[in-house]
Amino acid sequence: MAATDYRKPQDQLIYDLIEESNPGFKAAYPLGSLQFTNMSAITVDSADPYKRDTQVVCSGKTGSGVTGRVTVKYRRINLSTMFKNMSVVLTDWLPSNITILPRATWTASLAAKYGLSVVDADWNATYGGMTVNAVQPTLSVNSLCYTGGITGIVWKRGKQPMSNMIPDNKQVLVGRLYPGGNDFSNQSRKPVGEWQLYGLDASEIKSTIEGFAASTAVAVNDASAPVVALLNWLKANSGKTNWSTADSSVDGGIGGLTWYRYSLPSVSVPEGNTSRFNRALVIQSTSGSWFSGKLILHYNA
Amino acid sequence: MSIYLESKADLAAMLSVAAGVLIAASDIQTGNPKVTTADEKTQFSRNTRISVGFLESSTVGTSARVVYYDRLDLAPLAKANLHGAKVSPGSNLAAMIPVIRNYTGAVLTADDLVEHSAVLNDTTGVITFQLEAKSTSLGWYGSGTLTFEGAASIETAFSDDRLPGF
Repeated sequence: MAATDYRKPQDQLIYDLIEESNPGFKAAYPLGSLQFTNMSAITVDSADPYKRDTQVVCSGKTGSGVTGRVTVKYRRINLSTMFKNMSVVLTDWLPSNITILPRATWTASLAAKYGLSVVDADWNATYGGMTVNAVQPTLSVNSLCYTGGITGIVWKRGKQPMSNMIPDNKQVLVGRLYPGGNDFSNQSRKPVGEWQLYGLDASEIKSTIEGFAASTAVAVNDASAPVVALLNWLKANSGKTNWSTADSSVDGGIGGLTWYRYSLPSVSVPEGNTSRFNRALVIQSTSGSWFSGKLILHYNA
Repeated sequence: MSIYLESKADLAAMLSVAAGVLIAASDIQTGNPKVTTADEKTQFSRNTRISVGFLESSTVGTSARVVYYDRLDLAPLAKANLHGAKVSPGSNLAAMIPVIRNYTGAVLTADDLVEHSAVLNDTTGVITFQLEAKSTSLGWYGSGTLTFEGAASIETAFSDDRLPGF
């Protein structure tokens, strides 16, 4: 005899029992054509090796074409025996503001954890939701396939399942991105600001850079000596020769943008942190700038 | 920005955005990333599918699920301006990773790249290093070649090739 799969729906379990004692029954009568009614407990016959404790009437559903009725006797699954001497702890997640685990939820959790087909309607009506960490009294069932009860179930609040955190409509993540996006095939794609100056050592003009305010708005066409000195240094060292204070919409222009000085490492510009330098001048692009991202000019103080 | 985080940390950051709770790289474990099928690409517009789960030790959550995201192509990174960075011929991956970090800002690890060594071209004096993503990299795919200036050619040391003789 094969082990019974208690996860099957209860009418399926009864149906299997009938087939086991009456081979060929399933072939003649599909489960969908049958109904099980008038279940009741019966006195166990001490001479019965199977200790049958229940009877139920098997008959055809209305309109199924099945006639007649048979009262079958069987033994239900006794939860008291199954869970004897066991501590049953259910760990289900619910938001912290919800302190009651609904009966339908803990029933489903119990069934899933222990491979049962017990359902919400099987429990005696007095049992409702469980509160966190409170030991429940004996919970009794009286159903087609289950009898007895479980003593001392405890609900502990579990961790949130990832499938609950990230439901199906959020499983497509934003994806990794290069500064300015990942489409490098587009001819009109803007240059990556970070890769214009990153790693260039501007320490030799640190006094010029440190002379600027920590946050400086660069005026369009600013021709002041320190700004010109910075631009000239960039022209000579960056491989790009058209740096200017023209409006930032023009290639090489930084006019209208704001630059910031940072000590590194910095949580404000983690992308600028590097083991080679302890300072950075950072210029953030705007939507109309010729580059995307940030220009990061490193130097050591 | 993505390239400035380790691949797993970036994936955790993306999960955090989707979940609305802070998920750290130390909270999760992953299966191997898979290139999405043509159907998945059409449906999700992402190049990678991966199974992500919480470690038992995580206090943030439990269980796992499949998510879709984009890994980055290494080829554009190989075109970054390296501003005269110097490397030695034969430099291995461990030596190259900080160079790449210092001159592009991109954070790569040995989990992302196949082991290669810097190679000197004796004729041109140029040193190249091949970037090749491991198929198991959580953040990168594809390949590219970084080019570094090598040592000055020996020709630059000569102003006159007519020697006086003994």
